[in-house]
Amino acid sequence: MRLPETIERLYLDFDGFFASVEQQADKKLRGRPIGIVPFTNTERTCVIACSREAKLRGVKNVMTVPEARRLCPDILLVPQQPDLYRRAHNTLLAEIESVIPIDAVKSIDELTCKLDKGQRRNPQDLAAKLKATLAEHVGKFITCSIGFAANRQLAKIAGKVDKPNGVTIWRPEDLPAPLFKVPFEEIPGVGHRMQRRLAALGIHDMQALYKTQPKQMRQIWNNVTGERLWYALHGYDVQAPESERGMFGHSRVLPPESRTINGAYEICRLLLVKAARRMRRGRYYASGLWLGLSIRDGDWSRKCTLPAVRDDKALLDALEALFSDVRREYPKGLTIFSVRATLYHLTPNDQRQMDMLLDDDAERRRFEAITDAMDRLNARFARTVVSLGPWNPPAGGHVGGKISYCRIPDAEDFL
Amino acid sequence: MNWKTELQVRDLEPGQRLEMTCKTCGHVHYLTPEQILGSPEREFLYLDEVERETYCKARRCLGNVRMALIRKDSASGFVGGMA
Repeated sequence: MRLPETIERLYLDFDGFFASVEQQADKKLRGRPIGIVPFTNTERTCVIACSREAKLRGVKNVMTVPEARRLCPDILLVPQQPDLYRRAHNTLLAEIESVIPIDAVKSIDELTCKLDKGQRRNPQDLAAKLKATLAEHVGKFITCSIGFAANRQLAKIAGKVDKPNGVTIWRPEDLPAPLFKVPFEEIPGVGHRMQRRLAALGIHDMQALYKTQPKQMRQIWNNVTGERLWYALHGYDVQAPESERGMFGHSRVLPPESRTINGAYEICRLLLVKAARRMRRGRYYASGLWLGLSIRDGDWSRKCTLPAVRDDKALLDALEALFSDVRREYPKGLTIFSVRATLYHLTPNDQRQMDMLLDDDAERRRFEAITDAMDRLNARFARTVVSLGPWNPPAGGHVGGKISYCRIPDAEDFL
Repeated sequence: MNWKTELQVRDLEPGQRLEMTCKTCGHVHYLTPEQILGSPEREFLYLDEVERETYCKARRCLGNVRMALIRKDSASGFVGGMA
């Protein structure tokens, strides 16, 4: 494995992305403590992101609304606008690419770039140019923190050291001293459970972790990630391997009025159709559907095996069968807080295998043609004008357009 | 000067999608370099010129559009926290 002799990577992380995009888009929100929430009609939800003004008052991301109000009584709760964040992401990336090519987009608000020889010599100039370009062409309320280091992982950790709007450069010759000042919770890959495991082994800080051996970290982590993290922390050129698409799914916390079996079913139908549209755009078939419900007693989930299918009819029939199980097992009804529909066991379009014991080819071709025609009509009119069965988006909207940890929705996801 | 004034159609990769969102009605349609290159010498157009001459495709709207560049590759995930 190669050990770079100088900085080779940049990691850029936007500060309080959702909240700063809202402040950039709406002058009334600037300079005020704001919290982004999934819905506004209930207190039983959480702040998914907050502005720096709210953070200064003690509010944190993923904090319940009552707790956020207790810490910051004048916090302004703003309903999320995933499509606005998606458009801001696209604009920001286009501006960044006018300065430096993007090597990988890691999430809606994080990306990484490779540095050329000139940029390695003078990273301050590059950071200043990036920040000036974004301020001039997008707006000064969306700021970013930038880390420079020998690899992506160190650059990411460096970028968090001087937030918000900072620049941190960790040249190999300066390490590991700055790394020792970073608490465990700031190290990606070292979560609460891993911290407990490390503490049981007498490893309480970065200095102790740094002194371990690669195979020892592999043993502690119980997989190769521990060893990769060791090499990353020691400045080697190592990064996350590219992962293959394994599933398409959507989940949703249900609004209070939809927390019944029928209410959950209606929203789950929409989630499944949105997931199926994404799957078809990715040119896949699915051979499994997984339904997950978060209920008062914990979780309920069930899988359904399918022949390789991609049409809405087959998928909605499978969902109906799974909800029949729910109705049978809970005849008196059930309070459902969230639903998740996931299509898995994916097969690329050109590798589909027919089920030799099932004579459904003619029917599948017919419903695939119908589904393709519906997709084309919906794309043409940029909204859902035709669907199989009713199409009643729930309060709060954005079905299928949620921004998850590292999924950035397309405009088609909002149709 | 921004990315639209610096990039020409010929700088785009084949199949690269440009998302055109109507400023009036919000309708979204996409353009690819292949579609723009339907007539000769359009490869030298800057993207701000393409944006200015494109109108909303929704029926009876004809509003001005806002252009966005859509990345061909999706986000590359974290694996065990590794970037």
